[in-house]
Amino acid sequence: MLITNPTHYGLIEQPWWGILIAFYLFTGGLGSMAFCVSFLYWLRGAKSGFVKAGSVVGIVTVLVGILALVLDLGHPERFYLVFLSPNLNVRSWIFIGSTFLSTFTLFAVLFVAPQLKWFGWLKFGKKTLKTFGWIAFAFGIGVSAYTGILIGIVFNVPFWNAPALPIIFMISALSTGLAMLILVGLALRDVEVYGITHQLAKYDGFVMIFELIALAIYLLIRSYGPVGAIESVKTILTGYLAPYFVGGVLLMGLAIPIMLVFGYEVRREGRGCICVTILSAVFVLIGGAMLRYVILKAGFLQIPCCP
Amino acid sequence: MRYGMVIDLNKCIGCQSCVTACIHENNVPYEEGQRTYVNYIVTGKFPNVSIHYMHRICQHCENPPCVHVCPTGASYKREDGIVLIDYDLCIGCKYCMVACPYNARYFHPTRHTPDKCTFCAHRVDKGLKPACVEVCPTNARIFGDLDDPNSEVSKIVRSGKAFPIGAEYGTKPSVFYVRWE
Repeated sequence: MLITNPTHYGLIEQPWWGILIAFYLFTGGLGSMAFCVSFLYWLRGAKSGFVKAGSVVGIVTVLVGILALVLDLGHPERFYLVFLSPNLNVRSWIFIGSTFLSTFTLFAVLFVAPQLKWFGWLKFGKKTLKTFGWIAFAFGIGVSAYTGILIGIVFNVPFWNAPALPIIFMISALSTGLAMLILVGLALRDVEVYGITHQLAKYDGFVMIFELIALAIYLLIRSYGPVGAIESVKTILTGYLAPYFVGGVLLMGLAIPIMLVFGYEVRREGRGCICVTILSAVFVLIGGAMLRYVILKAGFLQIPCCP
Repeated sequence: MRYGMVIDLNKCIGCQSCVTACIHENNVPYEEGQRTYVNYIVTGKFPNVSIHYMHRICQHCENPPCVHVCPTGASYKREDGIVLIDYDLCIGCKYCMVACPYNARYFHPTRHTPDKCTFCAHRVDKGLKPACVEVCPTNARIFGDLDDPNSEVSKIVRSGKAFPIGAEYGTKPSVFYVRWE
């Protein structure tokens, strides 16, 4: 029997991972990248107020994401079993990701705590601090990569099972992390930091262009793919998720900020209005959050049906 | 020792006895989800229509994705090939539900963990057949040891009449289907 009728295969929109996981995918990438960029600025000897604020915001964002992850569990009180289960499966990406998350948080806290005045009694040499920073940096890259791998290895959801997805998530994590740092830098109300935020805004513009290209190629390739992927692409481009994807991600999260950055920010050179910078950063954050939500929601399980 | 099942779709009359027996035997909250269910597939155009039945059940894969993704080892495979969930170790992350290509799992509303077909392991351990196999009036579901060359299931599988579903995923299911003609 030739199987061409959709009743002969099963497509189910995955109902299990919802807004909390999407929120974590967003905050995990954002927080880790905000920390990593702050650390790079620390290495270059940037003003310590900016580094401190950026690192703390990064760590807090990751912690909020971890809280969302734990709350999404059916048994939140058993979260410790991820590390302490007697039958621990060290090859599970939830275990690997939790290891990345906890190592990142630990070393990031060790890096930033001695710089805060409440923890003044905690003293490390500059070299130790640098080592902690590098470890946190490496695991921060791991955290932002792992969010895409976690859902990318699910081979029965062809929309996720694409090598481009972790890359897109990493680029988006960098872009949202930069946007967060811009907001943090502007909130410090320090004239010296304004130069850094201006620089970050320009970097963000280039990162977003890469993101747009990667996203376009990803969707193009998946639109030819297995039925599940075709259905997902249809859903986000013309289906009920189109307002979130086309409006929220493509327009609000990418096109408008790119236009604002290259149309205004690059020519500003320290003069002019910072509300445009704030607006584009906020739009980037909203777009990044929507991207995770849309991709998670549009995952169709492709279920083999007939023998 | 590798337990397996052959479901003869030609013999199935769609009476749903297997589903009911499973719900009764395993106390399944059937309004929230089922461990096994029978799909109706209608083909043809009026007046030449026909109806086929397709059984959905955990395939007890030899290479189970749900076990590979489980962080705590709550999903595990027994020596005899039955894939089970340790409800006390499960944290309810739902990764296994997303990863299962057969949509064999549902979320248990009061236990707050995924749940799925166990091949009635508690009955099999006592030497009994699974409840769905026991009640099937036409013997459409056949249960046995796939490694034993004299068992009915391995004879049918060796005859080439029965096929697995989703073999392209590399999961090596232990459930085989005899196609309708």
